[in-house]
Amino acid sequence: MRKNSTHDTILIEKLKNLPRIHAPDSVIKRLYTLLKEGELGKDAPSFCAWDLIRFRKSVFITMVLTLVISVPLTLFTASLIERKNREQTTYIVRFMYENSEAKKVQIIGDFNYWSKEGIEMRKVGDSGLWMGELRLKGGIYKYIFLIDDSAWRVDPSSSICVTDNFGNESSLIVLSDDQEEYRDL
Amino acid sequence: MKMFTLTFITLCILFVNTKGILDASVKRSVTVEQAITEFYPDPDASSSLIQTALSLIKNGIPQENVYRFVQTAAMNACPHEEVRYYMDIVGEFHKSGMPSELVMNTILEGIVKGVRNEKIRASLASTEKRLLFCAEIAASHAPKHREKEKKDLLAASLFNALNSGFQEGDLLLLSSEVQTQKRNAHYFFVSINAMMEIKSMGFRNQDTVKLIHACISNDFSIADMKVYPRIVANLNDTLKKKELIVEELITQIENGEKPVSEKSVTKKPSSSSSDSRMNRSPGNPPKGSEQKGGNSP
Repeated sequence: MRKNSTHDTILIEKLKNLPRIHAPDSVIKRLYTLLKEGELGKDAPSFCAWDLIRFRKSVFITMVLTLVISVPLTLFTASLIERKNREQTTYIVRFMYENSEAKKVQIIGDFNYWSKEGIEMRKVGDSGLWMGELRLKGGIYKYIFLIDDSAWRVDPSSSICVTDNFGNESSLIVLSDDQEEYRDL
Repeated sequence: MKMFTLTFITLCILFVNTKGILDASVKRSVTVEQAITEFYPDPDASSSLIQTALSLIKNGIPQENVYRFVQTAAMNACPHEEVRYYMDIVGEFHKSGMPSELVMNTILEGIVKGVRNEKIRASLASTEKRLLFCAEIAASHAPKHREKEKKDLLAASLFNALNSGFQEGDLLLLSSEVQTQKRNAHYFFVSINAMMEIKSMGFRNQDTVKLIHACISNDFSIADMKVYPRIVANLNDTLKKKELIVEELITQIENGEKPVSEKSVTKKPSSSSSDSRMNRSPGNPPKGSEQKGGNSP
């Protein structure tokens, strides 16, 4: 107890001698008491986000900028990842057909919705050999060769021939994604 | 500072929406409405078609698919009543969860090959039944939502097999065997394609099914299954009776003999399927027949 009172006296003296505090002894004593009892700061206004926005414009602007930059970037990156996941292998498929009498040969099938504005095959020299090339995604496609816009023929070199719903034949091409295939092995 | 922030935010929003804005501007340039009016100039015909087309698009069928469907139908002089009827059917199929693209292509295939509209209409009932069956089997092999592409591909493959004369029972038999062997949907897809390839060589359906069943039950891998039709083709060229060939092959399989040519392959280049086709032409026969030619006396 005695030690405490000596300590208090020393502290008061020190506070009194502080150069920046110009206050009467009573005020310093009161301040000391408040500090000791932990009363000081109880009634101080609580800090809230609004104060930060109101009084710290620079912090607020930084926050907004960070959000504005990061949100679109995240969305953009996510869309890129999604697109990459969706991407399938593209196959370059070369079709060949022999017909020396034909004037025009087209490939029509599932890949172009059987449109006659299809893929025209080009004649290779005078050999009667027609050649066409397509870029296709993995999948299965039925197709035929359309000769001179009227007659149609199946691909004689196709390994799979299927019958359609109406009893006619079509050629079938199967392009399967090997990555998928080997992932499951 | 405020101006800078506002400009920055505006630029970011524009950046995010650029793709959407560009897409929208491209799509607006040729709408389905414009296309239908062009293909079917009669106002009554075009208005009813536009209505049906828009309802299809609203139900989730891609605009491009609808556009291409109407385009091909119109180019083959298909009457507008028929086109509308077909589009209604496609919409119903789509609502039932069946692959609409497959139905569209089936109808267009008929139109392009000059099949009478009555025959196409009549065949659609059986198409629905078959597709439903195929979709169900495919769904049992690829039940997860993210496996939709696999499911559609398997359903299309099964549908082609049914159209080629295989029975529902055949497919069920193979399906149950694939599931017993705990194989995935892709394995089943490859097996079905191998089956159709072997059938295209002139083998009877029941023999083909028996052979593929033996392959699945004897633990053939996907690579084995892919190469197997070539092995069958080699034997097929020996002019033996097809029934005998099948018996011989089944005995080989049951004795544990598997195709060896691609067993050691761990990863093939991505365009293997196209490569094999690229070399195939009337003047450049398939590998199997080349080998046979070399081996024959």
